[in-house]
Amino acid sequence: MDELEAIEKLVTRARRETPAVNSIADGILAQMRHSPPPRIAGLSVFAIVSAAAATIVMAIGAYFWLASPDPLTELYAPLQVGLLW
Amino acid sequence: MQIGMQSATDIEYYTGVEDTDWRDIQASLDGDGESYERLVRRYESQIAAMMWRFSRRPDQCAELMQDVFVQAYFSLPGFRGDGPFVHWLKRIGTRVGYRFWKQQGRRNKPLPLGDIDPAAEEPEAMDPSTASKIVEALLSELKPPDRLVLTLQYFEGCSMKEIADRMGWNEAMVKMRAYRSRNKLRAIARRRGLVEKLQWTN
Repeated sequence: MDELEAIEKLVTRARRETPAVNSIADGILAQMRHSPPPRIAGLSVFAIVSAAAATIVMAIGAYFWLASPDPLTELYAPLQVGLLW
Repeated sequence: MQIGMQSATDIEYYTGVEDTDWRDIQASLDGDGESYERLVRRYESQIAAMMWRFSRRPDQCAELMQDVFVQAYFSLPGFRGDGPFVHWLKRIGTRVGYRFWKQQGRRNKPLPLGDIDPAAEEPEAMDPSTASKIVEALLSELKPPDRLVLTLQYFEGCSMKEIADRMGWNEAMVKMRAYRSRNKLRAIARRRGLVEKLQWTN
């Protein structure tokens, strides 16, 4: 008999084994009695806070971007003045 | 009702989640401990049978089961109901068991082959517990990934795809690992003289 064949026969018998473990329900419930599962995962909270922060940064950035003078205007302004003379 | 205002029957039809499970899951999310207790009692024997393959020590096995159900409880909001609840539990159980084996690491010495009475034992007559001890003794010599693939294949009847899904591994890699692991197991059994010890005629 081949080793793998013997192992497969052993596995077939081993599958009938009943584990010698008692009920664990009481232990689990005692462990989690005072801690209901969170409805919103921590990662979701982090994502919401990150999105809010990003929106604020975008708004400030856009404000300064619109308020800043065009750099090309700064470049051509002296030339335009020169042409006038 | 969650999930697009479908009825519980629709959910069962589309996702395979038992109606009773779904109700208990929703109630558990609302903080009803008794509902989760029902879920635990409904599935603890199946999870016990699975975690027993990761440790045959009753205290360790109970601890692993506890880890599975506690982890499942805190992950309940992420349960999407794509399949039966017990499949989801078993996926968590596989990862918990695999982590346990990895933590055992080098401390885990190969188990002795056990006392086999060759005269009395034929495959069909062998005590399941003895058979289980022998298989575990052989598998304990493999590295955790190899051991996991064969354990899931032999005891859980998992296909290569199911193993890959449970662990987030590549299916081709699992196939290759299963093939190599079987060869390694054969070599271990040969080295430890399994066939000679069993003395099975058929």
